[in-house]
Amino acid sequence: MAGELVTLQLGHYANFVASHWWNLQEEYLCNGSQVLKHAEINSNVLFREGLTVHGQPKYTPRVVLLDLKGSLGSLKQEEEHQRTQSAQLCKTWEGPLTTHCTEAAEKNEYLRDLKKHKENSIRREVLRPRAANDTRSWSSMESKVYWLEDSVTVWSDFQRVPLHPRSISILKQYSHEGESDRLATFDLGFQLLSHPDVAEDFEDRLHFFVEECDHLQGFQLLCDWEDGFSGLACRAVEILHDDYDAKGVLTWGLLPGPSQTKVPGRNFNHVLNSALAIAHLAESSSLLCPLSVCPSFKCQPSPPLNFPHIQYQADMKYHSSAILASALETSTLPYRLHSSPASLSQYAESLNYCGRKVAVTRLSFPFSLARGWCLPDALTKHDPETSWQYLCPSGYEQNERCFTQAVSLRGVSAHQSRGFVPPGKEPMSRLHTCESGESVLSLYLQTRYPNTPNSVLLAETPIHVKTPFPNIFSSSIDPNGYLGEEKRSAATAVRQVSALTAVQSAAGLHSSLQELCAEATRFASSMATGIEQEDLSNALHSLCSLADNYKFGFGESDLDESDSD
Amino acid sequence: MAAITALNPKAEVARARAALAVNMSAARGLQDVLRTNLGPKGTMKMLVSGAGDIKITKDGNILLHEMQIQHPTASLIAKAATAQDDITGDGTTSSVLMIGELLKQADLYISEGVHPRVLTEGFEIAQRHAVSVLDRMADHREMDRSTLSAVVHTALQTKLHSRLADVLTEAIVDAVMAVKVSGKPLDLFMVEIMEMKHRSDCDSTLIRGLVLDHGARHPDMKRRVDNAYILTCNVSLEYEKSEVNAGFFYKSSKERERLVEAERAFTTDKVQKIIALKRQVCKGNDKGFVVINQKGIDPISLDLLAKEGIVAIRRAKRRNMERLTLACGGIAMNSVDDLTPASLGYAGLVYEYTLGEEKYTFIEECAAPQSVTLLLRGPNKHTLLQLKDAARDGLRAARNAIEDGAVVPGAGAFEVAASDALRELRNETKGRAQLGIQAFADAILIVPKVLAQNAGLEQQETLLKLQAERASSGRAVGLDLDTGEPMIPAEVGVWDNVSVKKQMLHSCTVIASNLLLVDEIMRAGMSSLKG
Repeated sequence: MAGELVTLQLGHYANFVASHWWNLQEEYLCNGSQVLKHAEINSNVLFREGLTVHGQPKYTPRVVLLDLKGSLGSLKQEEEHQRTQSAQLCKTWEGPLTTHCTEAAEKNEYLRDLKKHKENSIRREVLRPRAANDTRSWSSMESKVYWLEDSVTVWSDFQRVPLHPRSISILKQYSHEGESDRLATFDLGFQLLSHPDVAEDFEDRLHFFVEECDHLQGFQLLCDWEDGFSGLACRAVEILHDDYDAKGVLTWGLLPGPSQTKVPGRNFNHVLNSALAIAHLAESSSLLCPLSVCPSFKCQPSPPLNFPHIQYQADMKYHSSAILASALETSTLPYRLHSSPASLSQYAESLNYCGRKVAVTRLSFPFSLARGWCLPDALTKHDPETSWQYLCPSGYEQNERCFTQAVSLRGVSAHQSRGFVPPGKEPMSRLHTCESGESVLSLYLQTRYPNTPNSVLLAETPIHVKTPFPNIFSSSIDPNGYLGEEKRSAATAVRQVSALTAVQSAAGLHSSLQELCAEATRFASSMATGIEQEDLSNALHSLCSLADNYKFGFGESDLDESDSD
Repeated sequence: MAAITALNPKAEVARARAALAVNMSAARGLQDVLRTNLGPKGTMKMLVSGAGDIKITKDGNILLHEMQIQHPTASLIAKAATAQDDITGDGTTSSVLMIGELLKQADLYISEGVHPRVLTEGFEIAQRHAVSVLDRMADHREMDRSTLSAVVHTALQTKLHSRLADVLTEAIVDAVMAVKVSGKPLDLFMVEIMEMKHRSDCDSTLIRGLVLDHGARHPDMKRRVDNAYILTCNVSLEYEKSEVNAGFFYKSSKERERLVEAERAFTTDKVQKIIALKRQVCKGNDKGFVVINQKGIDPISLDLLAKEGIVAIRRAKRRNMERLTLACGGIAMNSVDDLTPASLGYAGLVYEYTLGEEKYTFIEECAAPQSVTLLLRGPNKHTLLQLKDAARDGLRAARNAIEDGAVVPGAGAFEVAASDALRELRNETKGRAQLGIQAFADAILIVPKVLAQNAGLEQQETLLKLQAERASSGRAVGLDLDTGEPMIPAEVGVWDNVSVKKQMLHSCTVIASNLLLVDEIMRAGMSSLKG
């Protein structure tokens, strides 16, 4: 029996990632109204069943999201209501009334088609409730290939899964664009959510989703680290602790790719914000996973990650967030299956021994599998160096060692998962002799990471990368996600792919956290951060001791380094 | 050339008059946006967002938050004005008008070559004098029901139509009277504001008790309980897996089941203790029993409680826990080990109301509630928001009045009187400071002027009438917006908060002076200064 989770999305990039994530899960809901019972993945963990205004059941994610004013685009915060005269809308005033309209935000091609489809299906339901051929417009929309790169500016431009009206909270105090009123620093964010009105609204929204849960597992928190949402997230976790202690909190800190502005790299504010966020969140969350396609905490611009079979623009939020979302969709499986062995807190506990609260995520996406291959074939050809990328800095150039890891592989069907050895023939490798997919993967990991505790999970369900997932796959991937012999034509999109993730308590974090600490200390002395000097140095100190938790042995790695010097 | 251009050739610099012009245009722009809001005859504004969301407001504070202000100076003024609202809960629109007008009056002198510093000195003197006028005009009195009603009504009638303002004033004053404890500062936290998307705005009422926006989660629990004992507690009634990953510790599946059972029994035990208390107090009478828990209650525990006829509400909000004990009496329990009948509260009526997918639990007919709920009703979200903003302003106005222990005549009476007094002061003052005082005396009249303008009256003519009446009667004379004739606010019951006016005088003078003294603006960013 898997309990419910409530998700918090704090910040614009967090919403980008989460939008993609919800879209990836839409396949498990049947037309957004019914949960498939036979599915492997238990959608009730993240989704709730509610009622629409008309009393029909409707599935929406159990989520509270925060963003700044001006960031919603064409997404309506309230439910649709009948068009009425403005005089009728305002019955609370008998004096003069003026109307000020912002220029209507234009919906892009995808949202227009989606709206048209929804209206059609409602009309059809009203006219002929049992019409059989109502899938026509849907399938035509499904097969259409969209290129939304130019028309996506905010996350709502590709939000396909409907959200509950209680989910969307817009902070009026700061604006999303423009130069003034920016939520730029950790302290501003922390103060903002400490304001009684803002905090009360946040608690009320949270309460709405939590109160109806019978067996609350905990919370998932996605937050931006570069801007003031870092501080806001810290305050949010404090609120979670005050109200719902003993529940697990799994936090992902998101750093967008290289910025599109002229200034390359991250500025000192970004570095300080992330340093403070890690220091605070590592203390208060059960597990903390930084995620980014740009593997650096530091100011210097670093080249974005390369994935074989994926062509993407790292500076485009729409692209980079899609990759992070597929990592989330895969790595969170351990507590989201019907057969889930563990709850979120147990999952986190298996990875956070000895105060090692920070974990890195590795992603192989798409996991290379050719038609006719079995899992052992794929793993023997799998090259972690190039295809299993670290989604956050972890000092990987030095060592691949880690303390514990949780590995999830999805999109490999049961008959594919074990090798077939024809009688009388030598098996191609030891992997081919294993009895089950799980043991194949465990054996592979044991060979690669000797003496590291692993937990392994295999799921058959692939990632459904339907529109509005960007078309970032290279032409060597066929529509079913296999490595194809022939090139896929541009008119067909990839429908599903498989993926492999590992969440690791990696030894390399020692050096990268220390680097971050050093970098932050350098700026901290020169910058007015709005934070008491003492608090700041305390935070940096705890960051340093956090880094020390990742030393292998007793100062052994230090010795190694001095030897090689 | 400014030094900055040596460092950054792209930097833009605006100096002296140009700098002042930049600030001036921002202040005037903001003033133009907000001036139609002021007063009971002002214009309501409906804002439609790009996606079609509607917001209806007349409150300067809300408007400033809704607008996306790009101009740095405008943003500064907006911040100052909204800070005014944070402190006192009102006066945002007047602040913006006053800052704009001070700059406008100053500009007249500066264009004739007066140095801004001279004017700000005068502003300083004028502001101090205006505050002393305010103190003299303030009517110190016992804050009884009728005075509070007058103050709250004055605040609300600028935001809602009069019938609705009456309804809400009644509710707010009742709320304040209920939670007021003599000798202690008024704690507005004890007034919960609850919204319900239901019926019409005039159905908003005061509930002498508490309304929770959630209900019991078990189908067999009663929807209505009379004469109920209320147990407020903060005890987890959920089966929680033990902290340690127990997987390693048991040898067989049987042992595992035993462990799970033992853990379950731990939770059940706690439920049984509550049930035992219920049996004790409800034995032989028909009283009800309601448990309100801050922590969770899982379905099995709910089932046990339901079988005993206990209504259980889980996950009460933290902020409601204190309110609950103040409303119903009793003590909030952190453990079930020391439950006694003395720890129970009492409510005459507890019932549940379902609205779509939302449930509300009303806890009413409490003995002597020191915490109450303003229940706002409205047909749609934007009406509710507007009511909520108005209700908060009303509560703040009542609190200000109680804290000040005094009120000041409204309807422009203070401004007319202050302007009069400042003109006298100017005649007595020697030297250059006269100019600043004169500018201030003219600027402060912006409030009655705009009030008149919004009511469709001729500004100057109305103002002259007011000043004439003031001169002849010597009393505080305000403007009757319906007739355009002078009236005595004290007789009609139009009262404003002293602290709001005082705060406004302070912050406007400081901001306006600061803006006047700016003689160079530089910008080394990417976009332009123009606009």
